[in-house]
Amino acid sequence: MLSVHFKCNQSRYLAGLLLLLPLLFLWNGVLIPVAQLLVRSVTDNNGQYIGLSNFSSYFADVGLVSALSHSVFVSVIVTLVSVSTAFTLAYGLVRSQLLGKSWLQALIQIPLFVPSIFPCLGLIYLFGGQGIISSYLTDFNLYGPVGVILGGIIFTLPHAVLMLVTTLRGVDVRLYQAASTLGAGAWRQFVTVTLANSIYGIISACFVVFTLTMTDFGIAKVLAGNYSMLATEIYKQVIGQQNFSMGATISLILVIPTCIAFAVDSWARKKQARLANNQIYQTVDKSPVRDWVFTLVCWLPCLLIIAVIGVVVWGSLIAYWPYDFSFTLANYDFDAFGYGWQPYWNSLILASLVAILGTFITFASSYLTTRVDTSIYLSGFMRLLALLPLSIPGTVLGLAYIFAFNRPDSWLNTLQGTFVILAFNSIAHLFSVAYLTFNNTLTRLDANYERVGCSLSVPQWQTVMRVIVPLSKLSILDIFFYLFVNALTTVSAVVFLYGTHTVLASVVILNMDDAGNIAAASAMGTVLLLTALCVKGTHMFLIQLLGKSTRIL
Amino acid sequence: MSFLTIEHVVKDYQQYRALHGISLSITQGEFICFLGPSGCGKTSLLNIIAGLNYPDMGKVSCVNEDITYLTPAKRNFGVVFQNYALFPNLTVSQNISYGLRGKEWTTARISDRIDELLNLIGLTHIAQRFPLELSGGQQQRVALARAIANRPQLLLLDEPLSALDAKVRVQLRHELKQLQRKLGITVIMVTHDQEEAMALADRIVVMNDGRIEQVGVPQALYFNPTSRFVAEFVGSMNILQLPQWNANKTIGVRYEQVKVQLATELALAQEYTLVARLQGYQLLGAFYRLELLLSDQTTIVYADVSCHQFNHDGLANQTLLAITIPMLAWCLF
Repeated sequence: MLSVHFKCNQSRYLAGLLLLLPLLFLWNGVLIPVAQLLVRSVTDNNGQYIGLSNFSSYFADVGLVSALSHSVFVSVIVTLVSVSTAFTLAYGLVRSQLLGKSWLQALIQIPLFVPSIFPCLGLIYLFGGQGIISSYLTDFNLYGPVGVILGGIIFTLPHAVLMLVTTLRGVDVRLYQAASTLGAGAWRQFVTVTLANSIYGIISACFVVFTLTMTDFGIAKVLAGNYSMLATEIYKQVIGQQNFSMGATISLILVIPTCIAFAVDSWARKKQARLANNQIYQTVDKSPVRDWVFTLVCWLPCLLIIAVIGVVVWGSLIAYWPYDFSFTLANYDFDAFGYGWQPYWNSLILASLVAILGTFITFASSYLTTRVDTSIYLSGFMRLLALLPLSIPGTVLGLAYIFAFNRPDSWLNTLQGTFVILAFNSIAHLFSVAYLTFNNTLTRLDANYERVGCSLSVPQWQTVMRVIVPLSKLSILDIFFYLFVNALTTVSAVVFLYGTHTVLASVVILNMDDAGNIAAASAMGTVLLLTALCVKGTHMFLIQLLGKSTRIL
Repeated sequence: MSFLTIEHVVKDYQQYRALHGISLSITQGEFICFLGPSGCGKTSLLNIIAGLNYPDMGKVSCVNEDITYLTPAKRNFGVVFQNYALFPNLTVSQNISYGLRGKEWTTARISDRIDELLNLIGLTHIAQRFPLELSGGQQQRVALARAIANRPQLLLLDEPLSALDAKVRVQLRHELKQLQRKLGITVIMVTHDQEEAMALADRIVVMNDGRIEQVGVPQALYFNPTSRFVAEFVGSMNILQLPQWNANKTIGVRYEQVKVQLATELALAQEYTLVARLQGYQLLGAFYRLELLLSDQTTIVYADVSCHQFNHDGLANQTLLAITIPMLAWCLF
C-alpha cells in the first residue's frame, strides 16, 4: 500500500524535492539574515539579550530621532512632487497627442539605467559649491534637505511614471465615451472617470515612491551633508562606529514604513486590478490646445532630468569644473585614481552572474509553484518567502547579510567579499519582481500543456523545454535584462558586502565622490550609463528579433 | 470480452468526494459518452482513465491488466483536451508529431505518419501553419490527429466540441463518428450536451454528483429513464403529480408524447385525458411547444404538436383542449 501511495505521488514528491532548492536559497538568502537582524536588535554588541533597550536608547537619542523625522519629511515631499508630476506626465502620455510621445516615454526612463547617485553628481555640477547655477543664487545650500529632495524626485519619477501609465492605460475607454454621451465635460470626465478609476494606482505609486526615497542610500550619502537621515545613519553606526546592535535597530525602524507601504501597495494593486480592463490601447483624438499644453508641461520635467544627467556626462569629459571646460579623456583614466578598470569588469561579472543565475532560479521557482502539483504548504511557503524581499530595503538586507554571515560559525563566512555573496544578496533582493513576473506569464499559459505531453509519453522536462520556455521567452528576456541592469546600478546592499577584490563600479562612484573626485565619479557613472543603454538596446533588438519569429503569439 | 474495466473507483478532493465508487465496463471498439452537468465527476473519471490523476480507492484495468497507477506514458491512450491545448509555438506538423519519439520513429516514418494523418483530417495544406492561424474546427482536428498519431488503443475526448459554434459542431460530430468507425478505435467522450451524446454514443453513461445514474443505449435512456434526473437531463419531460391516476408515484411524460385535441366531449371521454387551457406557445422550427394549464389552475403541462395540427385546429391562447397521456408513455419515479 505504501508503494502504491508513493507511486501515485511520485511526481509530487519529486516536485517537492526540487522546490526545496529555491526554498533553501530564500531561507538562507532572506529569512536567516532577517532573523539575525531581529536578534541583533534586541541584544547588545556582546550578544547579551537586552530586550527593547536598543529601541528606547534609539528614541532617547535626539540625533537619531531627528534622522527619522528628516527621512519621513524628505520622503513625504518627494512623494508629493514626484507622484503629481508623474501623474501629469502619464496623463499626457495616455490621454493626449503630445509631440514626441515615444521619445518622451523613452527618455523619462533614463534614470533607471544609472545608480541613484548619478543624477546627484549632476545636481552638484549645477547647484553645488562650484555649481554653474548656484553661483547666481544667494543663500542656496544644495547639501541638505533640498539636495536629497531633488535627487529623490529624479530617482523616483520614472518608477512613478511607469506605474501610472499602466494604470491610466487600464481605464476602459468606453467609460469616457459613456461619460461624454451623458454630457459630462472635460473636467467632470477627469474627476469621475480618470481619477476615480486610477485612484488605487495613485495610492500604489505614492507608497512605492515613499519607500524608495526612505530607503535609498546613495542620494542621502552624497547630498545630505550634515542633515542626518536613516539610511546613512545605519551606515555610520555600522561601518563608522562598529555599533552593530544600533545599526540593526535602525534597520528595523526603516523596515516598518516599508512593510506598511508593501501592505498598502498590494491592497491597492488588487483593487486597481479589479478596475483595469485588458483592452487594446486606445487612441485619443487630436485637440490642438490640450496637446500643446501637455507637450510643454510634460517635456519640461523630462528635459530637466536629461539636463542633469547630460551635465554629468559633460562633466566627465572636461578638464576642471567650472574653470577649464576643455575636452579631455583624463577622467576615464581610472588607474590614476587608484582603482583601474577592475571595478567596471567586476560590475559586469556580477551583473552577468545575477542575470543568468537569477533568471534560472526565479523561473524554476515560479514554474514549480504555478504549474506543478506539489504540497500546498511547500508552495505556499515558497510564495511567502518570495514576496518577503519586497518589504526589505537593500540597505537593510546588506546589513542583515553581515550579521548572518560575517561570523566564524557561518558556512558562508569564508565567502565574505566574494562574488558569490554579492550575487546571492542581489538575487535575493531582486527575487520578488522576477518571481511575480514569471508567475503572471506562466499562469496565463494553458494548464493542459504538460498533460498533453504526458499523455503522449513525452517527459515533462521536455515539454518545458520545447513549449513552456519558448512561450515565456519574452518574459525570460525581460527578467534577464531587469536583473542585469539592476545588479549593475545597485549601491544600497552591496556597499556593505563588497571585498577588496570585488569592488564594484557603483561603489567606486560613491567612494570617488567621497574623496572629492567628482569628475572621475562622473566618468565611471557615464561608463555604467553607456553600458546599461547598450544592454537595453540589445534587449530591444532581441525583442524585435523574437517578435518576428513569434508573430503567432 | 471487456476492454476497459473500472471497479469501485473513489476520488476525494480536499472539500468533497468527486467520485463515489464508480464501476463500469467498456468493450473494444465502443463509443462511450460520459454525460452529466458540470461538476458531476465526468472529467475526474476521464483523468483517472488517462492516468493524469489517480483514484483513492478502486481499480482500473485494461485487457485484464491492472493499470490503476500506471503513468500516462505507459498506457498509450490518446487524449484530446478541452480547448485542445495545442502548442502555439509549434507548427501543425510539429504538434502532430510531438509524441512520435523513440527508435522506431525515424525521420522518414514520422513524416509519412504526419502526411497520413493530415490526409485523414483533410488538412494537408496547413501543415506549416501555427495553431492560432487556424479556425476552431481546424484546431480541433489537429488536436485529434495529435492524439491518435501514435495509434493509441483508446481515445479520450474531454468536451472536444464545446468550444465550437453550432454549425461546425454538428459537422465535426459527424466526422468524429466516421473517423471512429474507420479506425475501429475505442472512444470515451466527456460532454454535457445530451444531443451530442445521443448522436455519437453507442452507450451513454449519465453521471450526477459523482455517481452513475444510468448506463445504456441512447434509446433506453430516452424512453426508459430509470431516474427523474436522467429523464430531465436527457431531453425534456413533464413531471406530474396526478394522484387520481397513480397515488404513490410521480408520472413523467415526454412533451411529444402528450396527445392534444380540441376539447370535444368525445375527446374528453378517452382514458387518461384531462382538460387544459392553452396559456402560450412557441414556434420551435418543425413544431409548436404548447404551454397548457390544467383545471387545478397550478399545474403546467408542455406538449409538442406539429405545425400542421396547430394550424388545422386553429389553436390560439385560451383555447380549451383535451390532453391525453397514454399509459404506455408514462415513466414512474
